[in-house]
Amino acid sequence: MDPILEFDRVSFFYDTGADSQPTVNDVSFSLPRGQHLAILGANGSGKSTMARLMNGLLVPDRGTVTVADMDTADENSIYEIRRQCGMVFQNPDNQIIESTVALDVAFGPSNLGVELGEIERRVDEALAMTGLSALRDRGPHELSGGQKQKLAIAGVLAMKPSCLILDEATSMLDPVSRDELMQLIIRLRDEEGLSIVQITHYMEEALEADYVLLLSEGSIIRSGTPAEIFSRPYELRELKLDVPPYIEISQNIDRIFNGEIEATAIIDLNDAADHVRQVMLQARAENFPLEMLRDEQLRLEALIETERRQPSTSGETVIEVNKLSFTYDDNPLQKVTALHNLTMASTRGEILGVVGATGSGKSTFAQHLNGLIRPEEKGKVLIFSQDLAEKKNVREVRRLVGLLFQYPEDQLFEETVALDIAFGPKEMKFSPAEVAENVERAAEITGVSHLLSRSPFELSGGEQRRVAIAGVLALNPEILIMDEPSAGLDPDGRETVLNDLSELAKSSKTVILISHDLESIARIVDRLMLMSKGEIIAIDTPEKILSSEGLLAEASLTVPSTVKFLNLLRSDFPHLQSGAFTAEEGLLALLTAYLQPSEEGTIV
Amino acid sequence: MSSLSLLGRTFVADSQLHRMNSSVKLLAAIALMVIVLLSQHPLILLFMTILTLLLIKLSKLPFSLVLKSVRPILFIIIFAFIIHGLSGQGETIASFWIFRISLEGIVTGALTALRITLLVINTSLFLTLTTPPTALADGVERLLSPLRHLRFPVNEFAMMMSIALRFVPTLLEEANKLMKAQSSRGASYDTGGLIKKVRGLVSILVPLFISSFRRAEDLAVAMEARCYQGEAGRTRRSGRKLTWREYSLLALIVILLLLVAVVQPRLPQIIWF
Repeated sequence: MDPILEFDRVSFFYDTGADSQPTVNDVSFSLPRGQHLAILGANGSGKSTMARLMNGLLVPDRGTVTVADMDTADENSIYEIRRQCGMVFQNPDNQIIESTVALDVAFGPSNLGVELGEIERRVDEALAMTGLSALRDRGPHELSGGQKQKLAIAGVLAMKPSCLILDEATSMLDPVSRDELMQLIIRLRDEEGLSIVQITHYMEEALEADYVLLLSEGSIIRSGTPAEIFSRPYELRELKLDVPPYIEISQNIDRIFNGEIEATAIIDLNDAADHVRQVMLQARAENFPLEMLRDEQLRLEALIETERRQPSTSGETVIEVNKLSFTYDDNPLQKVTALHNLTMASTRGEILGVVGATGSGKSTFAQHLNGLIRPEEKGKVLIFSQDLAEKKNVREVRRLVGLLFQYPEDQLFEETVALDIAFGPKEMKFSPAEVAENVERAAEITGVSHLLSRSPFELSGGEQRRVAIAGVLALNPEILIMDEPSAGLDPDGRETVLNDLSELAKSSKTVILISHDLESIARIVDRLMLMSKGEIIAIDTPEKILSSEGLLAEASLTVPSTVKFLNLLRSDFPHLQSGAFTAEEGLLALLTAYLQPSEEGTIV
Repeated sequence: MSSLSLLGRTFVADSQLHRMNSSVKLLAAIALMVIVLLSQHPLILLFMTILTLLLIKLSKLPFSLVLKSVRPILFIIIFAFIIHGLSGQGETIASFWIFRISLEGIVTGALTALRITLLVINTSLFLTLTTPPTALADGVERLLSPLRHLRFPVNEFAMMMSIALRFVPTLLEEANKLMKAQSSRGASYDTGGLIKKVRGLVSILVPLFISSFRRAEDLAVAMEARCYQGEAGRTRRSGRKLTWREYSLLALIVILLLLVAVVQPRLPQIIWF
């Protein structure tokens, strides 16, 4: 059968100057019908341009793109090409056109001139397939991010496509919605026979594909099955992509005990756990020399020691929240209890992670900490012993507590980075000398000193986020609160931002990180506060909280894959410690558990 | 902000008013506007008030919610009342400085305030509160469709309007978030002089504009990807068929028009002026 999609030596230039660099450079591949292709690449690798070339939104400068035997450069077949290759974009808000769910699904078929009765049938069918039937009369602003993306898929399905292109469609979603969307995509592939092209920087998603293309600077630098691609983690890391830690752990176990790494990685979590169990039990049966393992253990310990954060809390209480409750009542049709009887405290120099599913009350809680929302009746919020119930304290507390919302780069507005960072201190009436000094220091902490004279709008996403953080740090706050610090950034940008925040805590500032993604922040926090339905259901070290899958389930959070992986192995290695997030930590935990004397006393 | 959050929002309920054809509702809203403005006689206004209350009941929306739609223009209503109240016509009952308060002024002021309130409630009841933006745009499209003969791009105009309305809640939410974000870095929007306030607005408007442009661009690409090509070849949504519901509303409108135009001038004066 003919391939549904074919690239033949395709190049594309945004800038048509003589010496300009191609955004897509000499790319060739072909996607057979019903297959699932993942395209991986860091930000700026040309992924989104590739997507737009696939349905004729862009036309290649060199080479040809063929969709079901139609050339995308052919104006006459453009609508048929777009019907066959439906596309879902990154930002859930910016692709819903109509004002209700059902009408939006009907948008595509209406454009194609499908007759009304048939449109209605297709809308019903598409809504049933995506599980949105109950929401058919809702408006876009009443949907969650995950529901909006499902709606975008339903809108494509109503055009009866043969191929679904997802351009980072999951990158603005929380982990639970991401999983749900992924399951939907796999179901459409397996049950409806849709071909899938998925552009992503989430490796877990690429693992589901039949075939993976690695893209760097517009060129395909490697292609193969996920098992082949993931057998070389170092290569992916060089491309600023990350590798699921359990794959690396399993490979390292092979390297340590068998002395070699297989050419194809084991990509399924359960299979990898089975493999590791088998290798380690066999090694124990064959009395594998322990010295080698001890050396490895020491090496890993030293490596992790340099990376691990030493909690530097001083014991001075800086935040005190007592019996705080809050109800949203601006829509009389539905009052929402966002917080219920919250009591907690935090000390100087602590990094506290506040984690919970969407709607658990995290943001409402954060807005209480700098007086954006003032406490209701009985509730108390004390910041450095200043009571936020009293209006006169609000201004001073605003300076002491820096708060960054999700996607803080959206708030940049000045002509230059320096002016934008200076906005806060100027508003707070700092002297010109102080303003200059604070801007310089804040830029240094976030590593944007070299960008001060640039316009914030020409920076990359990661740089913009760091500028936004600097804009709050310029007020010299004692407490920094940040909502979803790493959302929407690629692995490289994520690491830089998290390291900055970690550094900040070392200078005895208190940092509060809010996220629905446990995995993204658990590695750097001292304590985790788990929220569900407006209440705190646990507040403890990440190790303790992560070892309880029950607790995470109660908070509707996904269990990080490394934790899931180690939990599978605990029955055979009862001494296995939980609380490992990176590949190194997981490997060390496994080796340590192996070296623990077991009941039979096989180890002396 | 919270009173603005009702702006452009449709509240879904299953009522006769919600189910009505949007072109008819548009016509009714315009006609009611005229009728309320023409209502001078206290009896007619009383009748209109009762009618409005009945319409609210018919919409199955909570009374408090409908009343909230008046909040954004509460200032104008109070202003109108005071201006009339101090206008000094008729017999003075109290006076200070250059103002003379008269019973007649107070009554006229109250009636004017009532008229504006009824006007706003009726319009939002028929349009925003019970008609989703797309239906509203459809209504406009059908009412304007004769203009097609003059080569006016009616469909595109309606699409533009529907998208603009669809994004009102999104943009309000975003403005709200920006205000909070800039407040967190020390901006204050309720204190300071004019220059400071304008500067404050810049810190909200600039990012809002930039994100709106980005949204517009994204949306255009998303529409293109879903085969939008303007009016040509597009399936027209059929409006709801006119039923007894629409005909009774139209009949009511005719009766009301007759009432204000023919009956009102013949009513006996029940107030002394």
